[in-house]
Amino acid sequence: MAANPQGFFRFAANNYPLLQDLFHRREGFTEADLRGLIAATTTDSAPSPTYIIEQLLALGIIEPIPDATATFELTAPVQNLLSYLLREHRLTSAKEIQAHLTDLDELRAELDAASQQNLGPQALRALNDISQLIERIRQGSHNNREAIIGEVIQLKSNRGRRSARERFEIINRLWTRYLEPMRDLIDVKKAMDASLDDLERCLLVNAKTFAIDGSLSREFSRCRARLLRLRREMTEDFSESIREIEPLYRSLKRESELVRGASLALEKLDRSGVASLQLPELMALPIWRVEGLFSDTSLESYLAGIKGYEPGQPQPLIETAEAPPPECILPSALFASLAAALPVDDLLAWLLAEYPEAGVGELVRAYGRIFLRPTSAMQFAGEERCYALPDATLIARPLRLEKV
Amino acid sequence: MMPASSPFDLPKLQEIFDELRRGRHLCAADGELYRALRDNIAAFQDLFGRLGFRLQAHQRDFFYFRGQDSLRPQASRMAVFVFILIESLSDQGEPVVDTLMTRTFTLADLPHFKSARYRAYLKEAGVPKEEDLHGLLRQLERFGFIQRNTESSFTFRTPAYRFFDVCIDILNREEGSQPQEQSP
Repeated sequence: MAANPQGFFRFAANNYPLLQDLFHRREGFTEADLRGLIAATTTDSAPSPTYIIEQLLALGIIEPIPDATATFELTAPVQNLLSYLLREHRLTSAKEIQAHLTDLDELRAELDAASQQNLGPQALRALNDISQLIERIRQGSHNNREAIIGEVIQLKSNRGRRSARERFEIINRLWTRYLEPMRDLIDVKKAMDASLDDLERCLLVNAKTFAIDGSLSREFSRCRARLLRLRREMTEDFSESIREIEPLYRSLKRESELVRGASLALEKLDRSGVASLQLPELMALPIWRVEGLFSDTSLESYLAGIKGYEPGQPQPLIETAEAPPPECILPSALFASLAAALPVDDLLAWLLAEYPEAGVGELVRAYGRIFLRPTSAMQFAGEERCYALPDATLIARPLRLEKV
Repeated sequence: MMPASSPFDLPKLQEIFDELRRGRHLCAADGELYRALRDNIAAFQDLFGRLGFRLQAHQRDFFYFRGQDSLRPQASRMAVFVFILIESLSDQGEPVVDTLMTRTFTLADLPHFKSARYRAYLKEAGVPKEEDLHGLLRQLERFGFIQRNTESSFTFRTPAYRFFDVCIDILNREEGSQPQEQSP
C-alpha cells in the first residue's frame, strides 16, 4: 500500500534525529540498535519504540535487509531524499551517465520516427522521456559536484585522522573514476557532445513538424531549454569540481610522495643498511677543511693579495767560484776502495789515511758502516792503540780485515 | 685598495663564506647575511664558482654550498631522524609538511625512541642512545636545519625542505620509471 505523503512528512518531522542517525548507518542496523536509537532520540512522551518501528516499516522508511535476520536499512527513495536534503550526494559514475546517453539516442530515434509519421502523441511521450532523462543526467552531474566538494571538505578537515597516503588514495579515486571521465563527456571532440548535438538538431527540426500544435510546440521548446541548461551546468559542475579538488589533489599528491619516499628510505635502511641510501651524496654537505682551500686565512685578504699583486724584478742568482767539497764519505766509494785495499791490518788507520779531510764523526760513521756490513773476515788485535785526529784522539783496538 | 667594481667587494662576504663553507644553510631567518646573499646572488655564485664552490639557491629561498668530493657522513643520521618524524606524523594523520614546518618539537615528545623499529633505524644510522639525540640536534642546528628554542625544544627552518627533496629523490630512484598517478 502506498504511504500517505502527509503522514510520511509528519512522521519525518517528529522523528528527524532518528532518521538522521539511521541515514548514517549505511551498513544497516539490527532491531536492538533501532530500539536503542529510538530511546536515545525520543522523549518520554513519545510513542513506544514498537509503535515507531511499525510506523517506519509502514511508511516505507526502512525495510529488512534480504540476507540478514531482524536487520534493517533505509529504503532507497528515503536514502536519496535524505542525501539530497543533507547534501551528502551519491556519486554517479561516468558509466551510468553513458547509459543515459544511450537511452537518449534511442529516444531521439523514436522522436524522429514519430515526426516523420506526424504522430503527435508518440512524439509527446518521447519528448517527456527525453526531458526526464536530461534531468536525471543533470542531477547526476550536480550530485557529483556536491559529493566531490563534500569529500574535499572532509579530507581537508581530516577529522578521521587519516594518513596523507590514505587521503591521497581517496582523492585520486575521485579524480580518476569521476572527474577524468566527466572531462571526456563534456569534451567537444568526444561522443557525448556529438550525441547532444544530434539531439538538439532533432528537437529543432521536429519542432517545425508540430509547429501548429501549440502545446506540443511548447514541449519541444521546453525540452530544448532543458538540453541547453544541461550542457551549461555540466560544464559548470565539472569546472567547479576541478577548482575544488585540484589544489587538494596536488597538495596530497606531494605529501603522499614525501611520506612514501621517507617510508621507502626507512625500509631500505632496514633491509640493506644506511649506506645503501647514499644519503651523504644526496645531501652533499661539504667538509670545509678539504674543500675550503682558503680556510686558514681570510678569504678577502687572500684574494685582495692576488688581485693587487704586481711582480717586481727577479732577484739575481748568486754565483760562487767553486763548489764546496763533499762533506760525507759516499758508501759506494768507501766499499770500492776498501775492496781494492784488502787485506787491511788496521781499519781505523786505513780510514785516516784514505780520508785525511774527513771529520771525526764522518770517520766513525764509515767505520761503523764497514763493521755492520762485513764483506771480509774481521779480527780485533789484543792491545789498544791511540789515533790522533786534528780535533780528537780515539782509543781502540785495531781491527784487521782479511781478503776472502 | 681594491677597485670599486671588484667582484670581491661583496657585502658580508667573509661571514657568508665562513657560514657556507661549514655546510650551513642560510635562509630568511639569518637576517643580514641572507639579505646580502639574496640581493647579490649572481655575483656570489660567480665568485664562489670561480673558486670551486657550488653555491645553490633553493626554490624555497635559501642558500647552501653543495659539496662534491668530500661529504659529511653526518647527513645520514640527520636524514634518518627526519624520515622517522615524517612517517610518524603521517601515521598520526597530521599534515606532514605543515606540521613539520610550524610545530615546536620537544625531545620528550619525539617518536624516535618510542618504538623498537625506530630505535633500530637510529642505531643503524649511528644514534644508538636517546642521549645522543642532543648531539644530533646540535648538528641539525649547525647546518641550519633547525632553530633550537631551548635545550630540549626546537623548530624546523626552511632549509629542512632539503630532506623533503631527498625523500622525493629516493622515491624516484626506488620506483624508477614506474607509471605515476595521473596528474591534473
